[in-house]
Amino acid sequence: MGLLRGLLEGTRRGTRLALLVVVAYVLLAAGARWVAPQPVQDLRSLDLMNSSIPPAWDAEGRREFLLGTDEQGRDVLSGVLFGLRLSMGVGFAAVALAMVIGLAAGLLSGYRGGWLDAFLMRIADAQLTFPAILVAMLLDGVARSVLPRSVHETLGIPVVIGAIALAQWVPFARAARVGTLVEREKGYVQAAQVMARPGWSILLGHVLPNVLGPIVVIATIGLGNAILTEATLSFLGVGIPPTSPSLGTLVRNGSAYLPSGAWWMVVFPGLALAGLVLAVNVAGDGLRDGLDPKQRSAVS
Amino acid sequence: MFRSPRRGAAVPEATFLELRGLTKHFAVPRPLLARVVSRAPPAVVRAVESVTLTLRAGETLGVVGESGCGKTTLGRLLVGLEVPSKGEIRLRGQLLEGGAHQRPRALQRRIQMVFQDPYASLDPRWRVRDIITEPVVGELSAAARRERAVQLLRQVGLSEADLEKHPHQFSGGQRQRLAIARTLCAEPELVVCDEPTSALDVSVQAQVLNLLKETQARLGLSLVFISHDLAVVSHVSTSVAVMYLGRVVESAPRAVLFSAPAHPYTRALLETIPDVRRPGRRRAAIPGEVPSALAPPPGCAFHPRCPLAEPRCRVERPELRPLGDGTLVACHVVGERAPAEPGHGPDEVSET
Repeated sequence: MGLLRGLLEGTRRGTRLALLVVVAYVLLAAGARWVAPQPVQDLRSLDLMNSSIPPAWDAEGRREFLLGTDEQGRDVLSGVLFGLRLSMGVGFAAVALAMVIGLAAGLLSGYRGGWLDAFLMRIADAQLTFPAILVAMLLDGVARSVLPRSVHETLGIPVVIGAIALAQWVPFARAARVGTLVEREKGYVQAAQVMARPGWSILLGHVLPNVLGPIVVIATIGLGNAILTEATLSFLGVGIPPTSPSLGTLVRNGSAYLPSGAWWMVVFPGLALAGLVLAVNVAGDGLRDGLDPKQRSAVS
Repeated sequence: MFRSPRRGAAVPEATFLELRGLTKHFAVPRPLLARVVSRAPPAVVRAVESVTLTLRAGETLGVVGESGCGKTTLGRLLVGLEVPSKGEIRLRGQLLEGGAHQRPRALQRRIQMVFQDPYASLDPRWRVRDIITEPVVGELSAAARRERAVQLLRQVGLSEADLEKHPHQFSGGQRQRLAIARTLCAEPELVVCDEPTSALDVSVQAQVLNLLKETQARLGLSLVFISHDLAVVSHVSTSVAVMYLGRVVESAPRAVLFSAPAHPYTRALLETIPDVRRPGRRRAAIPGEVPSALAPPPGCAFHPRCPLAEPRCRVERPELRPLGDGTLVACHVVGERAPAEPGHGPDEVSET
């Protein structure tokens, strides 16, 4: 509730606009199946005769392909919509997983303290020295060599989600740990300890709900990052199988045709990606400002 | 170890609460490098040192002292938030070992705590009915808990209409009432109150204190009341222990302590109480500051600030000795001045 109030009351107009854009993106991605003019997932819908058609406003463009087609006759608009669905799905899933890992590690670390705290936090430190892309490529490489090819195809998306989550859990863990250290000294936590309530119940009942605020902000800011990382990985051809193209894959495929003048295959997926990440980041920043206790004193 | 049973009871009943040589040391963590380089043992804060006290059922033990004297740590040891380094705590003769989670559940449940800061002691995200019935979560059905919550709210002077509210909708005094309701929910025998009124307005303090006293009288609770405020302690206590740098320097029945304070530190503390009946009285502050608990002075810890200090006080630490009127005092000087008690029994403090 507090989050929602912070969002609606304490935010600037830009944040609200960004939120609106994010919501629009989510709706478009979720409804890709119904919104997209062409079911590009279905290879039978493709016609090679329609390949490399420029956008509709071009002299050679055709009205049914608003943003043109790619070299296989795939409608670019439809491709972007389905790619958006995949990109956002991977982004959300990766952030959710990172949040769960980070919360678990941070809560435990902060609440138990001692060697467990030192151990988990050193792992976190070590984790930070590897960039997300490196982790993802490593994980993907291992998965490729260990798993048979058929399994790898189906596991491609989970591997990417896992890699991005692994690269992003540290900020969640740190925020959760710091919050837990503060909460641990609060009277209601100590009262629960005096009542000899079980540790997990204190953590879930008292500590978790009270450290969640900053975690949500980190998640929003991390979402843009996750989507970009996924796009980068796809652009590099790591992870997501080319049979289900994300925005990054579309940019990668299209970039091969840029020299021949088919700019629309690259530009539209790229714009969609840039718009999405920008909106998510602006919304995240706005959320952080809106939840800043210094600005919220009047609200609480 | 027993206070002389005054009522002439033939069988000495087990003392309700008994602390024997209770000690808590905190090691001061040092940087890894320092630990590796130097073999010296880590510095130790002697927060509570050899505290021996007793409390009879239904009575109130006031614990006073300046900040840093270890009174809060003493309270935390009692409720199991800290584990003693040495010594023991007995409730009705039963040994309470370790922290709250290691103690037998049925025993631990009889001890509850009211915290200093009413703004941090209630979870801001919980509703009142859940907060005050937290001790019985999982023991009672939702309906029974609600009924219990209504009952508890009435007991502390709040109403059924407050059931669904959140803590931020209450004032400091009301929150402290809620905290008291929560402790009562566990049906405790002993409630440790750590500065329960020092975060409240003076006008509200008396209300909360009276609520505590009424509740105590009605339910036969025993209280350990920790405060830096002697006026507050005199209002609620049956007996008072004065702490200085982790040790009890004087303990006495309330009336005796306030009319005839023995220890120079106690006298100095009493000097600082404002009194409307004696306007213009010189209220001398105690000179100097509390020494660091990391390096307490040798001998009597109070000697650097003590107006009566003798050479002996700098060398030899005084043990608690009875003065006959129920007072135990740890001081070389006043022991010599007080009239000798005719034929008092064996030393009341067997070990410290």
